[in-house]
Amino acid sequence: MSVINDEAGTVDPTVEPSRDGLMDVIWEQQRFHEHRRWSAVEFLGAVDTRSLGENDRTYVWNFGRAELTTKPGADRLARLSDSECRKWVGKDDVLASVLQACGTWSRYWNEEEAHHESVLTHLSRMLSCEPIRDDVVIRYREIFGDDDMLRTLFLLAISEINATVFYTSMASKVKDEGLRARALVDSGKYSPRSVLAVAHLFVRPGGELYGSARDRVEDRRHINWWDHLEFKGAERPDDHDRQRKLIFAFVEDVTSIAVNSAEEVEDRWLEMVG
Amino acid sequence: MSDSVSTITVDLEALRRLVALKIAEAVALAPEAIFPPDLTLTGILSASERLHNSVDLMEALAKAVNAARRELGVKLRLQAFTMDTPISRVVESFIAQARAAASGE
Repeated sequence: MSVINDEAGTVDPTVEPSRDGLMDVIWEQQRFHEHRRWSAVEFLGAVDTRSLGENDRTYVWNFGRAELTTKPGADRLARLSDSECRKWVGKDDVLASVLQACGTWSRYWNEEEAHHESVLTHLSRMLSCEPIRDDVVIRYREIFGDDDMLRTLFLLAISEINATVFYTSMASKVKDEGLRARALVDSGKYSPRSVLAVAHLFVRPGGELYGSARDRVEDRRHINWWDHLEFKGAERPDDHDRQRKLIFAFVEDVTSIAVNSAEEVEDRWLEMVG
Repeated sequence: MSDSVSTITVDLEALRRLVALKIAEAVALAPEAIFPPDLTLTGILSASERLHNSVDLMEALAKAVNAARRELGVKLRLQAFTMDTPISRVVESFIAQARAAASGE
């Protein structure tokens, strides 16, 4: 049904467009994105920098730097979603559409993350924290190597969970990616094993969850922000119990497999590896 | 006492052989290309055409863990290793777990 009035050539607000297909999903993404829009400039204008202590300065500096890695995350998602989409066109057109919606979502995610990054990095400058040099920005922007789509989505989602636990004021970020990861599992074309593998990577003893608090941190080409937090004298704002619980709940959301401990994640994953 | 020790020793050698074989199969390399040079995990990832990243490698090690449970009844946990870890240390961690389990630790 057309929303354009043929005679006048104007939009008739009483006519609802059809609710199917990619264009409808993309419209919902746009609506959601507009609904949560906020201004980094206004936000910073309202911050009283005199009320921030030394620990706050350390947190702001660390998480501003960490947010630099979300752009390569979203860029990778855009590229990988489109190549995966093309793989399924003509074989599983619903899945191809889901993947295209996922790739489209990356543009909204990128913009939202730009707000987080800008607020924290600019606040860090307002507080005269250690400058983030150009070579650091360039290093942190390096795009990760490609991997299985479901592993990639789940890893990005866990990264968001970790960030959310670190600063709960941005808690609305968590839900965004999970919906799409579930669709990939439901399609039957992507194994839930990928979800369990990435969950294991994080929650196992000495896993990614423990980030820079580990004795040894992996020397990687790209930057995993959680490996590079430097709290110096400030208390680490970790809450591993909460992070684990959120990851377990997320595993169940996406795969319908209930897990309640790191050992259970490992056991379910090993069963799937075979 | 000595009998039980010798039984464990035999089991551990069987475990060592089985784990090495299964790792080699999972990464699609000959055991001689991995174990005598004692490749690091990065070295195995570079040499293997089947593996693309460290999660693939983690799954290859998981196959060895599963084989140990299925064929020898030994339950192992897959610990976190950095990529510069030599493969001998990974195998030794499995042996140490099996030894600890056998001695009731």
